[in-house]
Amino acid sequence: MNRRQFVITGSTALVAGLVAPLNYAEPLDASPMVKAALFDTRYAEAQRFALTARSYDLPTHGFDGDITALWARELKPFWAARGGALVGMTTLSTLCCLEEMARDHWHRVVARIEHRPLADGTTAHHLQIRDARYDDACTRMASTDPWTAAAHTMLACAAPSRGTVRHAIVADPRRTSGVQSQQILVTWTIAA
Amino acid sequence: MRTPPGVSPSDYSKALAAFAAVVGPEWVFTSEDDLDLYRDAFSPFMNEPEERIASGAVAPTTTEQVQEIVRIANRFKIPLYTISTGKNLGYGGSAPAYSGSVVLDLKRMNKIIEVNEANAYCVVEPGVSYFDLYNYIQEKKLKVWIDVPDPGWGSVIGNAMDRGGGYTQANYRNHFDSHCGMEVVLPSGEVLRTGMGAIPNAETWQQYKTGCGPWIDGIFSQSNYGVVTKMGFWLMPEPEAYLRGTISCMHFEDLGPLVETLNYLENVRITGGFPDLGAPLLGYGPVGQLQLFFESGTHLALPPEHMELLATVKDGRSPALEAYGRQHDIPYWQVWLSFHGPMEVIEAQWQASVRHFAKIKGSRAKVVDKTLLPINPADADKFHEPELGIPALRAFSIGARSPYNPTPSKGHMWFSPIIPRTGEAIIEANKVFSAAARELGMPLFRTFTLPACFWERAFVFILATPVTTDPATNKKYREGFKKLIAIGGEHGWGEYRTAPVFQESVMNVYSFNNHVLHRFHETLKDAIDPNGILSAGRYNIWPNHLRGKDA
Repeated sequence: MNRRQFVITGSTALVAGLVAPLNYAEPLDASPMVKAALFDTRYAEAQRFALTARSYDLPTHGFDGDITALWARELKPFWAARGGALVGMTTLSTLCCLEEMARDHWHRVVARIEHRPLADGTTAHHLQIRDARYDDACTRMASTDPWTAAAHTMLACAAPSRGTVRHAIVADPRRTSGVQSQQILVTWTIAA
Repeated sequence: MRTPPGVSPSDYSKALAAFAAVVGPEWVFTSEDDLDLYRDAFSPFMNEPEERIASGAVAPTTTEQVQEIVRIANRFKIPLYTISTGKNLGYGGSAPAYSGSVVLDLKRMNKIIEVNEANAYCVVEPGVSYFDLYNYIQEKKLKVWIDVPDPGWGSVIGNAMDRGGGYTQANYRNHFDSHCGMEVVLPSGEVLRTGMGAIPNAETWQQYKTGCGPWIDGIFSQSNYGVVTKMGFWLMPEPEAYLRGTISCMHFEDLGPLVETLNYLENVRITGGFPDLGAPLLGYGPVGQLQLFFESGTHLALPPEHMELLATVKDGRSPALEAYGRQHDIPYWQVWLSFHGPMEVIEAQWQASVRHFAKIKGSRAKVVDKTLLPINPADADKFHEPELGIPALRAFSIGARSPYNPTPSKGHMWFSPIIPRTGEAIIEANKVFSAAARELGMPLFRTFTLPACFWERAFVFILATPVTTDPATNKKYREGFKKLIAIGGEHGWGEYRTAPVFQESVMNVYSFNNHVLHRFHETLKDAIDPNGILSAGRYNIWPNHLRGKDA
């Protein structure tokens, strides 16, 4: 098992400095409210997200950047019928659009993790998670693969847990080929 | 629980109970989570104390429910703020102008009352989006087009009431101008119908706009004199064919003649589609082609020499860059023209356009697309869909971050001054605004900026000032924005539309005769809405009891 140095910063930082990697790769109990996962097929990270979602037997819907057709065909009727929660990994722009369209049905983004590529090739994962899931999310993100952890985290976040939104940043020191085109991807949950 | 300013908790509770009795308790919103949905997603005050927020929201489904809500608001002096679907992002979104108001959310009023194919009009409620109307027309296989903004996510009525625009033929893309007849709930709770709708059983409500006597429709747009609950719009009969082409000019001095020729062709209706100005040599893509511009990565492809020469541009002009353009066959200016109609007609219109532009020495014309309509839906993404009356969300596929935009913002505020329709005005406005923006540290008017051609008789700049996560930067940009408004006003350039945070600054520019326009607005407000319950502060129209206060 490789040692990694992950730094978590936030209002209540769980761990600072060098930490032993925790094996949080196992799936947890996804909220039964989550009914489907969306992913932007242009990005390898999003495709891996979709694989994680499928491991929970969730239907996945891919789109090639333009959300229009998917929204009109699937999301609008789903939200109108108050069909449940959705998770996804998309660009920030797409989430901005989805967030607005979800408002039409009194749905909202209940959790998000922005994966921000840094100039040195590393990634900073910015978490916005409600109280009830915050500690678990931070611990989970300090795993060997924050990207997979983000997916698992979102799947648990649909439950109607309210409370204050808390923020944390998980710095992933691994240099990767990076997100395609250095785009900011975001993993999210939208629920009523 | 939040309470509207000036309202006692006891009165507010009674009002909420009364609202609930009208619409059902599940459609009255007071929880923090629900009211979060009525924040302006692009607020330049996000998370600051000055952010304008709602105290509550109520969502009716019928005109009769709106009437009841308005009567309740009068009884308890509850300030309401009306939204259609709340998608007016960049211009305030769903947040009230008067913080603490109760949002009157009309998105559940989503009936398409009528689409009349033979006379090419529709009547809709405020909750009907462009997508809703487009899908209805497609499902019924009606041969009419709608005109849509980009993105097309908003309300047909909402966009028209804030005087937005679109991308098809001139007489349809001014969305307020293309309306015909409205139904309005007045602050008294009475229902009024304008134009021929004021005659009971008239069949011409959506056919003749002005009726008889004073034509009052305009006072309900960009104002707070009533709640529009139905509106009619003229629709374009589906054209037989579509042609778009470019006219390219190689010299800086060609801008004036290019604009003059375009004006002539539009005013005689030789070209009627959305004209799109670009400046390829200055690295400025046309508005409607932005999607293709980013998707193709063209903006990434400027060679180093070209990039260096951009630094030599002053007020749009650079002889060295112009020489580079000639050498590499890159036009200085370019206009995209589009035509809708029978093929033989639009081909003739294109030829006439080419003949007129040929007077500009060295200009070149090129047909980009020529196609019969309707297009194959699978080919829609080869076009800028709004120019074919198709609503889209494709603008969001660009992605927030790119080498062109390395630090994506959290939203934007639109700076939208109207300038005269001349080449000289474009150059002058760039000179004035770019100098001001540089001094203010505002990220606007860099290199050179071209206006958009939504309106046939004027130009409008539509520029995004970013909203960031840093309150200090947001404050700087807000203050800079206000100064740009004032500087524009000194030159006779006023905004056509703006967010509530800037509505006082913008309306102050309209100062002719000691602000008589503003005083007239207030006179109407006092007469029509004496309790000041509707959308207080919208476009700087405050009810009497809030005037002069730091509301």
